[in-house]
Amino acid sequence: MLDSSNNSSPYSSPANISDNLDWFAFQYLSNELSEQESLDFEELLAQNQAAREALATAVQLIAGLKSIEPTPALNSQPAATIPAAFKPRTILSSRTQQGALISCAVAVLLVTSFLLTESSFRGTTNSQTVQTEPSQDDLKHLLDLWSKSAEESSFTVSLSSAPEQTDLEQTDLMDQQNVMAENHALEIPDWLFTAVSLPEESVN
Amino acid sequence: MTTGNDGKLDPEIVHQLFETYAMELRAFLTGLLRDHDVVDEVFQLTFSKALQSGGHSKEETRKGWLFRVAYHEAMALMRRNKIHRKSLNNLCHTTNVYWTEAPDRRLLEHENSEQIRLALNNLPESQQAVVIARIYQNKTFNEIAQEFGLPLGTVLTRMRLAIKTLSRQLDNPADDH
Repeated sequence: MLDSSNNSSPYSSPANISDNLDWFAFQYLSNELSEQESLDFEELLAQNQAAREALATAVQLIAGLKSIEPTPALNSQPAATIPAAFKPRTILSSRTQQGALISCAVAVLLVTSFLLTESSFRGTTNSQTVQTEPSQDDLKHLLDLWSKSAEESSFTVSLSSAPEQTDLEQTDLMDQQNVMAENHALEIPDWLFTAVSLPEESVN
Repeated sequence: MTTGNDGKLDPEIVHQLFETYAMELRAFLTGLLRDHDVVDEVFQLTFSKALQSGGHSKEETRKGWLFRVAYHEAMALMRRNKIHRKSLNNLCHTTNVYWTEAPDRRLLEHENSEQIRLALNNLPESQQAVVIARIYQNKTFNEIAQEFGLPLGTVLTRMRLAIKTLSRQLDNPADDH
């Protein structure tokens, strides 16, 4: 598709070549030449520096055309000259941008509200977990143990600080200290807390 | 000294050639080969050859010599690698890779984009419409002719005139419209 009025090769006439090198290069580049026409053009490239430069220019031209967005001047062309399919695309692009902005805003609102709801719900569920999972009897028992151990430890401190003590008293003190040691050995280990705090279903 | 007895070209001159013609030469090779990796390979081979045997070329025709070397290296590589024209055409025509991939910045300076934009805006509306339909909408000339209700020859003539004007503007940015 060379759009040439001549029936012979368009490259046969030097005048035709020089006038239409840009056009031939464009057609070669966009694969609008037949195979034979492409071979003919490549022969021309081997001999003619102007043809080589025209091909380079065509590549730069197409790269340049592809790199630029159609300007408002182009968009405001009359409908008769600008293809119909081109104008809606530009209108759609601005609508798409607005839609994207609105979608982003809605998404941000949704995420924020979800995070707020989740954080308040998390606070509620945490307190409920502490209050409900262990049984009340177990908790009372644990509190009793802790209060006894606290009382005994303060009692021991007061005994060891007393200046006058008999042998019997010292023996009693040692017994008490042994008891204290046993009490300390009875400090509630972590696994016991874990066992106590296990839900009833898993214990059963 | 620009050349030696062995035909080598002064590296400084080769460097100047590179500075002056690299972008245009790369564009030319891209038009021939349509594969940036292969273009890079031939591009390096060409300047290696300029170093090795560029001394045989005349200073006033050195640009033509450089492009001719690039052409022959490209053709030789295509023959060696058995790159067929059909595969090049398929690559370009069916996937449209060549035109739709991000423009190669090595082929284009920012000023060129601006020149092209201005030149496109200054085209007659009838030519702009054909360029837009062909370049941006990838329509064939037959489709454009049918859509606009014009003879195919008229559409081709409009495109040819537009390409001529745009190319001239790119080659000679100082030209007034």
